[in-house]
Amino acid sequence: MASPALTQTVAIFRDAYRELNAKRLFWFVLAISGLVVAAIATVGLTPEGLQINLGFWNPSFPAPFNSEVLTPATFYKMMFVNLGIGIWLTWAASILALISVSGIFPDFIAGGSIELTLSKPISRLRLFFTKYIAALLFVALQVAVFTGGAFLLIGLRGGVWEPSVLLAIPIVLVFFSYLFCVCTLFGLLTRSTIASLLLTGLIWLGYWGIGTAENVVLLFDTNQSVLVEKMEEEIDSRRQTIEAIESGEASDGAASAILARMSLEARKAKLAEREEDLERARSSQGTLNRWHTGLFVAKTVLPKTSETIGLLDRFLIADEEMALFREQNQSSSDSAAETIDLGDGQSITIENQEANVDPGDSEVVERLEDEIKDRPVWWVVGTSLGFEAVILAWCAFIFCRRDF
Amino acid sequence: MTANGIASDYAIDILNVSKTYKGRVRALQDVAMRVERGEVFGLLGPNGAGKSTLVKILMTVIRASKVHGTMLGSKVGSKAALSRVGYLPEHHRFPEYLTGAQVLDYYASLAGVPRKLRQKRIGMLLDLVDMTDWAKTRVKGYSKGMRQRIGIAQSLMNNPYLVLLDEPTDGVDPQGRREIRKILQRLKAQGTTVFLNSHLLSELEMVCDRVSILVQGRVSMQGTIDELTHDQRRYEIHLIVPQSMSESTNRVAESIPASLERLPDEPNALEDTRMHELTGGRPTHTGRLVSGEEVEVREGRVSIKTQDAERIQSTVDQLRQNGIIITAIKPVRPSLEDLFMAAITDTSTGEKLHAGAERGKKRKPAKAPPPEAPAEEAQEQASDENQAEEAEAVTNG
Repeated sequence: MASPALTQTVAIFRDAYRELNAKRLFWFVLAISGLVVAAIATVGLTPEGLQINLGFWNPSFPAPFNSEVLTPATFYKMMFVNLGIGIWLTWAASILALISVSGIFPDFIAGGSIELTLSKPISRLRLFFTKYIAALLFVALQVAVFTGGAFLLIGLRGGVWEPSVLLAIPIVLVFFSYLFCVCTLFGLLTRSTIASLLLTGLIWLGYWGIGTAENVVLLFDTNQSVLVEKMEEEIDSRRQTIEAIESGEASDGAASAILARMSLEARKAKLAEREEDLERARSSQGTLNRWHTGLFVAKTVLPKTSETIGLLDRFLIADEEMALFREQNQSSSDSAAETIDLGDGQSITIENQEANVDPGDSEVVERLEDEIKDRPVWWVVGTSLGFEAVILAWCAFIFCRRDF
Repeated sequence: MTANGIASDYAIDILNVSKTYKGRVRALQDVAMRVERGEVFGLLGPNGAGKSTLVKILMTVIRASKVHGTMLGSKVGSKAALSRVGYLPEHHRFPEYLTGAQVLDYYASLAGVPRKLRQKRIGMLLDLVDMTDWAKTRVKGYSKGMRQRIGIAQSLMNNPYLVLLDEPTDGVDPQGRREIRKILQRLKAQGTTVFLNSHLLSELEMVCDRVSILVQGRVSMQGTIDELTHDQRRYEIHLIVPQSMSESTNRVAESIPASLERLPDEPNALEDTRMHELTGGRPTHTGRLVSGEEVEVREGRVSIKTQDAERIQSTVDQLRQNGIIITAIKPVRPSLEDLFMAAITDTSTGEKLHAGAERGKKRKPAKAPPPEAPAEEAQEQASDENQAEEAEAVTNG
């Protein structure tokens, strides 16, 4: 015979299922998830680009991704991570799931309903957390259906059976729980489904805003760091050239050729100018660094939605696969160095061009990606779950202390 | 067993139950109540008196500011107590996506009732409340009466020793009420204690062994209806005097062996007094018989406060000797409604008491009486201010 506690828990889970089952939106989201997987399955790689295989109509499109650049397995994993998870599950499906479950707590605590439940021999704390977990489990069901479909897709179409795809279930669930805890809090405070949904949307926007602002400032900070490094190299190079000229090392024909190009005084003036530029760049870097530190602290306290979803990249797509993809798409950057032909087969390379860096430069982007990837999982998930724990403790306090 | 390990004869035995809401609204003030096992106990009171608050405190829906006592021998609010109690809240709302049978199954599961027992009791209780044909219909398609019946069945799913029903006949038609009364009587016959909270005094009077009347968060009266009406029982002698009203009442008064005082003709502060409401018509003379019983004379009627028929015989003889025709002699017992009205009436002023909870006042320096006003007047003034600041009802109770 089942214990009363087990009977109660099963009853709450079954009730949550019945509640969601009664909402057509739950099944609608599930059906759309299946359609998204099917849509991804129709896309195939050709040597020229992409092809949509509908059987009766198979149009092709030229694309930077093709079967020479990517393996089918990597292609489908990238499609799964970027489209399936990045767009469908983290945005569209999450919004629909929030709409599905946002009414659970306001309806639960509605007058006339909560009295019956609270009068049963079950503690309020257990009641609250069982209800919370039951709601999350049905979101997990939706993610599981989608991820299971993706697992089959990558296996059947990509030829690789990748169990790490299934990590999407806990990762997306954890991501969703960052939102649902806030939705629950607002549901308890306002007792209104609409209000809790709208306020959760605002908070989500806040998470996203802080996260994006931190990433943007980090990008500029990284950009500035690279710029400062390059300027330092440039200035070193200029100093060496001036020292070489001054010490008479280049006193042969080659030196004459160099001196013909630029006078020593002009070089010194340029060096001084670049040193001032370097100071300004360092100052800007300091400012950006301070801004970034502030945003980073704020981000550390708040849930990290993008980074949490980004964990899938780490687990699913190997660095080598990504490096290969980058190499194929990377255009060779022009050298900043100037090579002067000195005649008689001699030449001298002078780093006399001004160092300049653009935020879109591959070096900056790579450093940024590396920095983000280097953030430990405990920081990404641990601190976010810490925030969730605080919100849930607040919710539990309200639920346990309130007179209904 | 009680919380202290002592067996309790009471289904509910509570003391010093108080509840003060935010804003210093005192919904309950030191309520003490005892409900014996196996009885049907009625809780009544005007809107806002604190009835539902008290029930909700017992069922842990509301946290009491202060509560001492036991329910079925266990501490109030303990799981042990709640597992043996059935509850039907007022204005209850079941999840609309559930069918009647699913409602019973869900709430019984929350009460920890095992599956086999649930299945057995669902059929039995649906039959009891005459809802078997609607068992597989979703609650959203139910009428109010049907919801109420399912609610009663729900409250009995855990085979409780004590059932608390908050307005169980709310929205139920007369036939349904009769059926509910039968259910209550059957529960009582089975030894289940029933705690009823209702506005329908006639309903309560028909089924309750004992009642408690709450007014302004305090117990105003408590006991069996016999006990509560004991002092108000009287005999009424209906008469015919072929004269005008004032002459007839004077003649009747003169015929009674009592020292009577004639009351002034103008309406006075006692216009709305309890006796006035109970007997109908304003008395013209009041006093005591030689044997000590209170007596009142009204047009066409003499009321003597006694339960002993022997005590009215001399009065009857005197009236007849004086040519007054007696048409009827009736023993009168006040109804529950009479008791209720008496409970909510201020005996000193004859005015209705404010029904709802009281709002506490911030402490502020006592207002000094004006130099020319005596101290009593100043106190009355303060009392009026208190009444003016009394809160509106904050609960449905």
